[in-house]
Amino acid sequence: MDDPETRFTDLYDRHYRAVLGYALLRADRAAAEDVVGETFLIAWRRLADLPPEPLPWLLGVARNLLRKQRDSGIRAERLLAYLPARDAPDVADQVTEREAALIVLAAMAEADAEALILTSWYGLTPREAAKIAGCATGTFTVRLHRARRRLTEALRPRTLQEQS
Amino acid sequence: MIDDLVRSLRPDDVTEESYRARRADDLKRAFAARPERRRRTPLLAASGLLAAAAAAAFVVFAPSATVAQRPAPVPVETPVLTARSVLLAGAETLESTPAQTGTYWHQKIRTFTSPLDGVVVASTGETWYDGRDGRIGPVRDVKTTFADERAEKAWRAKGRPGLPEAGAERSFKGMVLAWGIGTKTVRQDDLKKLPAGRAALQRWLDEARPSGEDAGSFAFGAARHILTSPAANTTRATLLRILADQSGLRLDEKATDPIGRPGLSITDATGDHTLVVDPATAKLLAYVYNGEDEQPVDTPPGTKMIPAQQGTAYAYLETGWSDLPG
Repeated sequence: MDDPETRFTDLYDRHYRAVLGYALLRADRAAAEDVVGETFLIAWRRLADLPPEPLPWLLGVARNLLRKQRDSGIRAERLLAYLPARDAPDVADQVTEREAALIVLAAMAEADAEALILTSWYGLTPREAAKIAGCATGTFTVRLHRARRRLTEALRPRTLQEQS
Repeated sequence: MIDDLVRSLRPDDVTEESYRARRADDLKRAFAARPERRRRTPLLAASGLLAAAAAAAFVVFAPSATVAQRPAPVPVETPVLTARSVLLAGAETLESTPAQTGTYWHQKIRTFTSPLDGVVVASTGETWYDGRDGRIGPVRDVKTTFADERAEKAWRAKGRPGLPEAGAERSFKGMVLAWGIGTKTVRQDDLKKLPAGRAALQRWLDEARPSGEDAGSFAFGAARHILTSPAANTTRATLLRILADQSGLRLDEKATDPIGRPGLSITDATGDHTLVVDPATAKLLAYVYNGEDEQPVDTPPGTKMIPAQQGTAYAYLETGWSDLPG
């Protein structure tokens, strides 16, 4: 396990999917894959420096690389294309709700959407996620609250309508 | 549950497919290069020091002005120029700002600390100081916010850590206000006398920088003290020029400081230090520390150190010369 190649392979196997998921928020698939490849190349070069919990570090590197992309905003149409299939696709309400959630996320301030996604997708603490987002923990916590409230409010009326 | 809904949007199908398709090539490409050897230097903690003239109580505003490791050699292209131009413009603004004089240097600072994950404690402190005496205002507006109920519960269970000590207004009798900038302990008079020449100020920073620390990151940490001190405008301008020459700076043109004031934020290459600046006046609105938590170190008798913690932030509400409040 101390062998660098084995360590790196393990790192790649454990975190590739997570880093790509994040990159897909801000880039088309081919570009996102290239960014993630570059991220892991940097991780390989700096293998000795990686923190014990490397995922926030990897996401931070990917984020910096993504900032250089021309169109790196969070786009609803891009996310809709990647929406994972469900075991029970016939549950139309669920599909509609997820699509609606994506549209709301893409429409809100990017930093707010990112706060919610970083904590929900990866289980990061506000402190870890704040470092990736490049802000103070307090600022991040505010963004997270705002995003949760906005999404809850946006979805509520539709649910009520469906029930009526 | 909103979090479950958001989690269900994660593009797991695509990432799994991509992982299978790219794994062999990505690993091969990486292994064609050799990994670098560890090149970090040991973390050197330094200090917000308040030296007491007599062994007495202390007030400490400043966590470390130092710390520096470079965690990732992440290239940032366009923002480098933009951050640079912002800092250079700030230097010009300061150079054309008339010097002010006064007796007491007044600072009103809202401090944000994160004693536990998901917990932020904010409080406002105020001082008026002429280098020997003055006044320390009581800590005001203490507010604790939580990411969720679990964080609040954990904080209460641990005895509500991180709350500032309440205290009545008092004088500086028996105390000397000083800041730790790297290896130097700096008093108000020292800050007033800081050189404005580029070479001299750089030399001062180099002398203060503990060995092994990254020069750029150290200058950023020091900037938060110098830019909010009674140092001359020309000295502050020179410091901005020194910061501007660093590579890897990151600019956010639509930043807000921890109390919501709009400004430009500039983060150093390590990501540890962020300065939020008002572009109209080149004044420092806030400083945010996002480096690793410092470990407490032994300090000289009669002094106290508060280690810097990730997420600590300072919003400068008022900074300048004033009279003592009536």
